[in-house]
Amino acid sequence: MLLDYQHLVEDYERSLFHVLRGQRTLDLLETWVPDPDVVRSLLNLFEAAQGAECDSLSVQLSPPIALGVDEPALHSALADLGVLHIERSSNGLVVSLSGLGKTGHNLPSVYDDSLTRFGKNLAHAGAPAPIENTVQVTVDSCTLYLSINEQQVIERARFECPRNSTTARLLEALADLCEGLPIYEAADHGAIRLEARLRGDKPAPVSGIVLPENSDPMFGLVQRLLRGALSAFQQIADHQPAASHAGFIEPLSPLWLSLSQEEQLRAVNAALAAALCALGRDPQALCAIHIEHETRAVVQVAPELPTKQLPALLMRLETEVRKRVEPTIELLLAEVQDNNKVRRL
Amino acid sequence: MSASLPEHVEKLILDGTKIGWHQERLAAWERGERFAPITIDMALTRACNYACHFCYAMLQENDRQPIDKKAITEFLDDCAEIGVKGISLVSDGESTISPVFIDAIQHGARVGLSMAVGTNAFVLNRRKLEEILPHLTYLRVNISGGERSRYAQIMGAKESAFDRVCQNITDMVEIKKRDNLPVTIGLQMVLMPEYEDQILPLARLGQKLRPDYLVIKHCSDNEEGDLGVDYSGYDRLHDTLRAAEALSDDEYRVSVKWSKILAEGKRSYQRCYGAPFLLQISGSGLVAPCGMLFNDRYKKFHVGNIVETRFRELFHSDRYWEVMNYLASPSFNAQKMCGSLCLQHKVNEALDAHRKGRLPIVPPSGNPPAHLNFV
Repeated sequence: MLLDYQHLVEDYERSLFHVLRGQRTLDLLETWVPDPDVVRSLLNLFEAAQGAECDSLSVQLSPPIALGVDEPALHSALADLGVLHIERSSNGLVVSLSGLGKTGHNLPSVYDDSLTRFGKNLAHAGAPAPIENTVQVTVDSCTLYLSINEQQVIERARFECPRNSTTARLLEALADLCEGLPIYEAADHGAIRLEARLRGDKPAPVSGIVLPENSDPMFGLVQRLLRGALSAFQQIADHQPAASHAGFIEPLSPLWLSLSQEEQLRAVNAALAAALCALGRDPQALCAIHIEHETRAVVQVAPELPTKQLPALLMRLETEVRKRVEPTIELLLAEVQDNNKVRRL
Repeated sequence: MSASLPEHVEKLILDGTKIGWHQERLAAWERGERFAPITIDMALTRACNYACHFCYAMLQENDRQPIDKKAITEFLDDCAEIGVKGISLVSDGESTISPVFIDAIQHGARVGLSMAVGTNAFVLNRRKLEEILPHLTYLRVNISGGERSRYAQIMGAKESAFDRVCQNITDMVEIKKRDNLPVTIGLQMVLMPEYEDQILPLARLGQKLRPDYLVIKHCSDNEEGDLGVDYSGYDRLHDTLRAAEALSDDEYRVSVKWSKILAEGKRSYQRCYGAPFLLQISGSGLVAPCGMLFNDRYKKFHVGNIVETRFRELFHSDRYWEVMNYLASPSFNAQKMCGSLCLQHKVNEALDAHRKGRLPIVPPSGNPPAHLNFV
């Protein structure tokens, strides 16, 4: 919707004199009060539109009014409300804001801490300079830009959406997650990876199986953006899907690989002891005895540890070891052999 | 497949999944609700009277506990209460050698569960078959050889066992026909490439014994490859397998699980969404999401034991859903952490493709397939 600012102001001022009761302009702007300062006036106007659940709005400023507008100040005032576009021409200035409806969205509290952390520095906000192999996808006024290299790996991710919104924090976290992931992996598992990363150890948002869409509708937005990006990539790139696209394996960290097996064992056991202590248990109750296939830590359990508690404890300890040492580690017990031997024909 | 196969054979899905027919469970899953498994695959014991060369159960050892009559009765009651639809007695032991075998089948059917059995059929006899067949959806005989001596060699049994099993199959077919029972009688060959010489003899044996079908499937192996399955060796068998399928006739179908054989033991997906729909329980009573995780090595995935705790309690516990959620999360990678092509494989494939938006599971049309409650 494009509104003429001068017309709106004139209507408003006229109504102050001629309408005794029920004074208002458009329903959309029923809470708007113009201000002599155009920037403040526009801020009031877009806030009013947002309050009326309007998702996007454009306002035309005539050349004389536009001349007096401090553009950086306008940008600073409005950018937090939505995706801002300012277009200057001989006809004056058109100020557009989209994504107004997203600003008020709040994810469940289990994600708050992580989102606040990502919101402190929106390092990936804003459109990138045009470069090759960048795909762009817009969903619900949020835009995701992904620069994808020849190996089909996302090198850089950027986004545009209202800066002071939960969506901005969510997309900052998404952009941070995407960099380094193959585009297929991002499209297939990016949303659930993001949900898991933001939630950390907090309780699951649903009682059953956690999927992006049932965690919060915002993860549905993430999913649509990522799938849209893959689709855009498939259209612009004359590519074959990478043979490994269904089989992305998280790479081991260079630090973990640089350790000898003895050092790896020490690191795992230190993490286990610390985690056991934190749980109020004997730090020696469980220790890794060797590492198989680079990431499988085979652990030995003290006999006094209650057997019934062991499965859940192992899962919890694995989470701690992954956080403290290496994200791909698995904790396993030694295999129990059948009393019979596998026969060979 | 012959166009004139009887309806009950025509409607069998032997190389696929029926998950699409269970839209209410799919919807509950997508809403993040807790839902009962459609099917539970279990055994009544870990033990077996055979020693099959291909036996995956050799790799599934865990703390054995006897499943007695009280435990299995309570378990079946709980299943009916929470909404499980089908129980297949297959899993990691020979359930026919459990003293509670017949009671379990009869009680399960009585409380409204669809019951099924996979067995080597050695300890069965005509009297027992008369007692169980009316209560079964299917009875599948594991038989990986079509000739006496090779059967004994592959299955780790005496040669005379072959004769007894053939007689039991004959009896099953006769009872079914006599009483016009809806039960499906099947044969299953677990195929390693080195059993190539038994494919056609077994398909011909089936022609003679007249079960409803013979299914030929790949052999699973663990992630260490302990059984030594040579997946590349299946390639050379394709012509023989097709020749076996050509032995199908109007009332007997030979079906190869091509999708698994052609997959060469590889998975196209990383998340395991299938376990809450198709749960497995060990013959020790252990509740774990799947058979590949039965071994004590995978203790972190173990939920509890039906001998010690009522199944309904286990099912409603946060621990059950913690384990299921681990498998569905980025913490888990079935390509890296599992053996080859598990029981849940086809369900997993379908759910994963659905999740990725590549092949949405839409409500199917037409008449439902046979064995609907065995997903």
